[in-house]
Order: sequence, then C-alpha cells, then structure tokens
Amino acid sequence: MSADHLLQETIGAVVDGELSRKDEVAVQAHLNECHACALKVIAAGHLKSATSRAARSFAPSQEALARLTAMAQQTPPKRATVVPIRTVKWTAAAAMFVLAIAFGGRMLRQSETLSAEILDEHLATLSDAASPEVLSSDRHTVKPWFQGKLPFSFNIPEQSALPADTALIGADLTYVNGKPTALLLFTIHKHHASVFVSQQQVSEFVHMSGRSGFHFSLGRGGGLELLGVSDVNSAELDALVANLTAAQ
Amino acid sequence: MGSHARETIGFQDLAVPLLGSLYNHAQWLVRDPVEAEDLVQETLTKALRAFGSFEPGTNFKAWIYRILRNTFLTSRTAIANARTVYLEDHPDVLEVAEPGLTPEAEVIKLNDLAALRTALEQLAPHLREVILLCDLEELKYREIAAVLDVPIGTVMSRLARARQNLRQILTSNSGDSL
Repeated sequence: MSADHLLQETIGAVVDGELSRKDEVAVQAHLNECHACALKVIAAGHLKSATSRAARSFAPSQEALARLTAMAQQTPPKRATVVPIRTVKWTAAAAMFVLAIAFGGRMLRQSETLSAEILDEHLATLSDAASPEVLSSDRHTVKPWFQGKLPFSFNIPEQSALPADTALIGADLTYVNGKPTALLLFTIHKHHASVFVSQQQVSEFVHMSGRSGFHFSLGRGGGLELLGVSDVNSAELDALVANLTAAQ
Repeated sequence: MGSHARETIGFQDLAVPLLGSLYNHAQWLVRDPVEAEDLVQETLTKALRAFGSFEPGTNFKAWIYRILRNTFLTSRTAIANARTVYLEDHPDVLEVAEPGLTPEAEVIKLNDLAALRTALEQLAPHLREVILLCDLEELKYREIAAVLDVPIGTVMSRLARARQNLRQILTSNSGDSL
C-alpha cells in the first residue's frame, strides 16, 4: 500500500466513510507515511463539504412548500387484499411461477443494467469534460500505466498492426460489474470506440445485439474478455476487437 | 415492522422532512422552479401509491429519491438532457489536462461557493447527480447504486470522475477570471 499512491476511488471512499475496517487500517497506515496522499484526502474532504454547501441552492417558495406538504399529508391507499390459494398444488405451482418470474426478471434486469453500464462508460468518454487518465497513442505508455492497477496484464498491438485508419488515443481504469477493468479508447475514422478488457464474463449479461444505435463486439483470448462498443459499423468494430484479441 | 408500525410512522412523517431536499434535487435535475415543483408533486403521488411496497427498516430517503429519478427520466427535460449530457461539446474544459490547483489553492477556491455552484452547473448531469446524492444527500454507495440502478463500482468510478471534473472546471474558470 505504501509503495503506490491511493487511487481516486480510494480517496473518495475515505472521505465518504465507505472503507471496510480492513481497508481503513491499510489506508491509514499509508496516509501516515505518504504526505502527498494525505494532502489529497484533506483536499477531497474540503471539496466534499464545500460541494454540500454549494449544492443546497434551491428552496421552494412558501406557497409551493405548503402545496407539497398538503400532498404529503394525504393518506396512502390501502394495499390490495391477497386472496389465499387453498390447495397445495396451486400453492406449489404459484411458487414455481413466482420463482421463474423473479429469476428471469433478475437476469433480464442484470442484463439491461450491464448493457447500460457499458454504454454509459463509453458515452462518458465522449464527453469533453472527461479526459482519460492516460492520454497517449503510444502502447509503451498506455500499457505500463496499468501496472499495479489491475490484477492482470494484457497486450496492445503496435499502431502499424491495428486495422486501417484506427488509432489508440488513450486509456482509463474503470469498474464494470464492480470489477477493475481496462478501458482502451480508439478512433476508427471519426468514430470513437471503447474496448473493455477484463477477466470476467461480462458478455453473458450484455445484449450483444446493441443498444441505442451502438454496437457491441466480443473477443476472448489469453484468459481475458474484450468487449468493444462504438457507433461505427459493426464490421469495423469486430475487426478492431479481433485484432486486439489476437494480440493476447 | 408490521402494518401497525407502518401506520404509526406514516408517509407524511417520512416525506415532509425531505420536501426541501427533494425540491432542491429536482431543481438541479430540471433547472426550472415550476418544473421542479411538478416533479416533486408527481413523485409524491407515485410514492403515496407505492408506499405499501416500501420495506420498513430500509432507507426511505433512498426509496423516494429513486422514485424521483425514475419520474424525472420519463420527463421531456430528461430526454433533452440525455442528448446534452454526453454529446455536447465543452472545448474550454477539454483544454485542461490536469487538475492544476494545489490543495491550498483549492481550499481558497472552495470558499467561493458561487464559483463552486457555477462549476456544479457545468458538470455533466450524470456526474452532478451522483455527487449530489453522495455529498449533499449523504446516501451510502449502495443506496446511490439503488437510486441510479447501477452497480456500486459504477457509483465509485462516477464519483471519482465527477470530483476530478469539478476540480478541472474550477481550475479552468479560475484561469478565465484571472
């Protein structure tokens, strides 16, 4: 812990009181030795409290508050009465039905959430306010940046080995499904493409058919899963993901 | 806690103390006082209807903020914002590669709440939303994840990005004013 500086997420977790007891001890030990990280934590604490003060910006007028209070004071409607099912067979059948719906619903929900999460992460990279942590087209800069940040390593082909008119523009560390993931950013012609490199099987929970005009493409190699997302045509996205997968 | 307890601690006991916060959050979402009141009203109507499904012992605040957000997402403003959030250009922000304020300078800057409010307004809505839920409403990560319907890891990475961008915007605006 003391060799590397704390990640932004960890500093956030410190000021948000979200560290586990075990992590708290390790982080505290690091902060006792690392002046730079201690300053960052202090600054993050100041930012948090100032944000809280600045964000409390709007208050309803007295009339609006009175209207809202009157609404909140209404009595909630009574819940619908549940009619008991009399026979054991019907109870068992109903239980199976509910389990099927619940399980299917959970899978569908997870699938929707992960597809949205992947797309959300990709769209966030398009926002000009969100520059990636490492901004470089040089694989010898990008790959070493991930050392110590990920529990795995991966390869990036030389620029000359990438598909035509495709370029690496940067990278970021992100979290998909709660797991650390390398996010590689490319341009294909004038389109942006994100490739998520991880050890997990995210693709099982992603609608590979695409979402909102964006395509997904999947490759597996070297024990890694590479999931690409872009609005470029699917053939060119597939070519990029296949190229990266072959390098693993 | 059974239905008796639910009746003892009624909807109004839980909702009325949150009206000011709900309104504040609604106005950050829709950026208009009339629309904000409409949004809170619609939220209250839905929350009243669904109160029977609220699990006593869980966080009512997180529950009703989730309803507020889902109500907002179906609004015309949210659909317009969804286009603006990710695709709108912010070239002035892009020029800033690193958060340049030293911690000391940052403390001085943070005393200027008007500047910070301006920076919050410039933050991408999906990042502003997560920072408001965490820093202002003091929801836990798992509660924010439930409100936004995303995994906790996404909450953490969005928060880190939101704070980084906030610093970048503060730095950029500070440079502009010098």
